[in-house]
Amino acid sequence: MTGEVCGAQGDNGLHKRALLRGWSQAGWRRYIWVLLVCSFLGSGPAWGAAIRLGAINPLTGNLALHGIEIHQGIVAAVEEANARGGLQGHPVELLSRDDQSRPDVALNQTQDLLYREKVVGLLGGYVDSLVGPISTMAARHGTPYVAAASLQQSLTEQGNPFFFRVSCMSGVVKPLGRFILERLKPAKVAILYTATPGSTEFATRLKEMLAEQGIAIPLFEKFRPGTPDFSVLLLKAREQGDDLLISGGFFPDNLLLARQLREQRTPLKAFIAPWGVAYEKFIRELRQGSEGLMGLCAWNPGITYPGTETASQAFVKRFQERFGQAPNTTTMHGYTAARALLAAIEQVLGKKEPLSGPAISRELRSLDLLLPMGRLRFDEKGDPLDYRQVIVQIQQGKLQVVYPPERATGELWYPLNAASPQ
Amino acid sequence: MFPDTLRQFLPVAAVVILLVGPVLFSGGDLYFLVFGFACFYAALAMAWNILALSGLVSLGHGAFFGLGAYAAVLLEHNCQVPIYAAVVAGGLMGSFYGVLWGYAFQKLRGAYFALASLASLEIPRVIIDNWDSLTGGSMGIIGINRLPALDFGAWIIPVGESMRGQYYFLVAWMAAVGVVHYQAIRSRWGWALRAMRENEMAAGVLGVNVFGYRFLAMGISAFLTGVCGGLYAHLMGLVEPAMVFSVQLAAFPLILSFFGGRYAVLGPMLGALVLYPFDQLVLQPWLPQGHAAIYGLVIIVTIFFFPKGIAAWLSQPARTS
Repeated sequence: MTGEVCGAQGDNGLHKRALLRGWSQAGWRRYIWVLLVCSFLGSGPAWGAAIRLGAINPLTGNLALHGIEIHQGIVAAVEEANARGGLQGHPVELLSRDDQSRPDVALNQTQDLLYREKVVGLLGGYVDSLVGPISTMAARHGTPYVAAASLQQSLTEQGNPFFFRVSCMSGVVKPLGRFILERLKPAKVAILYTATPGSTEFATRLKEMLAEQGIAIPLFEKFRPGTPDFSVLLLKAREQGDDLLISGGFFPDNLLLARQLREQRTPLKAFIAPWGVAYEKFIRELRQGSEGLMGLCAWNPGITYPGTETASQAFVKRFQERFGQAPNTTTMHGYTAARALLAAIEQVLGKKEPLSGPAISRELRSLDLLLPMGRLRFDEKGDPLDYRQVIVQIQQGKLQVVYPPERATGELWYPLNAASPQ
Repeated sequence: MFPDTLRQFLPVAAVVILLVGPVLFSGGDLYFLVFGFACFYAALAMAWNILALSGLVSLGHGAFFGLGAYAAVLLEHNCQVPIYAAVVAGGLMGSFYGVLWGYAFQKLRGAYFALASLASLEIPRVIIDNWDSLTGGSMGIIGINRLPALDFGAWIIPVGESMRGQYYFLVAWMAAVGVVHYQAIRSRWGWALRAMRENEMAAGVLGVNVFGYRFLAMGISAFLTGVCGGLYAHLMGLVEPAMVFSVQLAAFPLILSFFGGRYAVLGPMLGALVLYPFDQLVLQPWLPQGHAAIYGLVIIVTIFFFPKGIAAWLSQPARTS
C-alpha cells in the first residue's frame, strides 16, 4: 500500500517535471507575455472604469453653511470633468460624506471612504479641527488629500507627503496685516477668535505682526463657534477705546457680532472678519447694517484673478444653472481643490501609471494651473505658493476690493461710522 | 430564550469569530479596522460600566478619556516617556480626576450625579483649550507617534504598522478590561457594588463600605477610560480638545452598555461588538449620511423592548414546553 502511494507520488513528480520541461520552451514565453499584459492592465483602472474620489465636508452642524458651499464647488468641478469625457476616458465618481462638523465623525467617514470605498483621493474639509483628523488618517493610508479650506501651519510642517491644500495662513495674515499697517494705522486693536486651530493661529500670528509694529492689542479673547452673546466683549472693546475689531469667527458669529456692534453703537473705526463677511448672504441678512464692514476673500463672482475673467464668468454661469444660486469664495475653494486633484489624476493616467497615492501626490506637487482663484502651484510641504486673499468692504450692498491697491475696485470707507469714502 | 447548549456555545463561538473572523473576510484592513475599534469601544464601555454597576450613571467620562489622551501625548512629546508607559500615565491622570470626583460628588446620586459629571467634563476641556503653551490649545497636537510594536521574543505584534497588529492588540486590551469587568460583577467587591446599587442604606447597614467601594469603582473606571484615551490619541495620530472631550464620545459607552446589558458580564462587550460593526459595515454603506442616528434609535428601542439589554437573551433559561 505504502509503495503504491510512493509510486503514485513519484509518477506525479515525474509528470510535473515533464510539464515544466515542456513549458520551458514555448509555454514559458506565452506565460511571461500573459503576465506582462496582465501587469500592464493591472497598472491602472480598467478601461472606462470610474475613478472614485471621496469628499468629506460639514454638511450638517454649525459649519454646514460653508461645508455645503465647498461641497457644491467640488460637485461642479467633477461634473465639469465628466461633461468633457472624464479623465482619460474614465468617468469620475464622487462619494460625498457629512462629518456633521465633528472631528470624530470626520475620522469615521474618512475610514469608510479609504478602507471600504477605496477612493483614490480625498477632497474638501472646512476648518482645521476637521481637516486635521482627515489628513492624518489619509497620510496613514497613503492616499492624497487636497483640503479646500485649511490654514493651520503645523498640518503641512509635519512632513505629510499626501496632504495638500489650496489655502494657507500667510495668504490671509499677510495681506490683512499690511492693510491694517498701511491704510488703517490704528493705535489699539481688539482681536476675537474662535476655539478652532485655524482661527487661533490666525489670531496669534496677526497679533504678533501688529505688536511688532507697536500696535496695542488690549483685547485678545477666544470664544466658541456659536457663542450666543458678544455684548460683554463689545463693552470691553468700548471701554478700552479700541479702534479696530478683528473677528476670527465664522458666518453666524460675525452676523451676531455685527448686529450687536450696531445695537450697542460701539465706536469702532473698522470691523474686519476674514471669514463669513464677504458673502452675499451676509449682506442680505444685515442689509444696511452691513455697510462699511470688511472681510477677506480669494474670489467672488465680481472679484477674480487677473487674466481669468472669462473662465470665471463661465464658472458662475454654469454654477447658477446647476445650483440656482451664485457661487462665492468658499465654493471656489472647493472647486479649486477638486480641479487640482482631477488634474493630477489625469496626468498620472496620461503617463499610464498606476493610480497610487505616491504617483498622484507627485503630480500634485508638479501642478501649475491658472484658475479663477489664482495661480495654483504647491510647494514641497503641500502649501499653495501663490494664495493671496484681498480685503473687501461692503459698500452700497456690494463687495468692493479695497486692498491691495493693484486690485482695488473701490475706495476705502474709513472710519466705519462715516460710511463714505476716506 | 436560547437552549442551554446554544447559550454555552455562543461565547466560545464569539471568541473564535473575533480572533479569526476578520482574517477570513476578503475586505482585509476594513474588517480589522472595524472589529478592532469595536473591541476598543467594548473596553471603553466596560470601563464606564464598572462605575455604573455601583448605581451611578456618568455622562462625563469624556473627561477621563480626554485627560488620558492629553497626558499620554504630552508625556511622550515633551518628556520622551516611552509610549506605553505614557499611556498608563494617562490612565493615572484619568484616575486622579476620578478621585477628585469621588470626593467632590460623594453625596450626589441619580440625576444630580449625572449632571455634575457632565458639567465636570467642561473643566479640563476649557483648561486644555486655553493653556496654549503646554497643550497647543485649540490647535491641538498633531503628528503623534504610532503605537510601537510589542516584542514578545519570537512573537512581535506590529501594533502601529499594520491593521492586523492593531486589531489583535485591541482584542487583547478588551480581554484585559473584560477581566476587570468580570471581577466587578462576580467578585466579593462586585457583590458589594450590586448591594449598593440595589439599596445603598441597607448595604451600609450590612457592613459594606459604601464610600470605599464606590471610590474604588470610580478610580478603576477612570483609570481604564484614561488608558483608552491615551491609546485613542496614538491610534488616531492627533489630539484636539473638541475631539477627545466630546459629549458624544462620553455618551457612546453608555449606549453600548445599555444595548448590551449593564448588569451582565458580557453586556457592554456584546453591545459594542454587535452595534458598532452593524453600524459601520451594514448601515453606513446603506445610509452614509444618517447612519449614526441608529444609536439614538437603539437607546429608545432598548428601553422599551429589552431593558436588560441583548445579553439578557443569553442568560435567560430556555423555556421548556
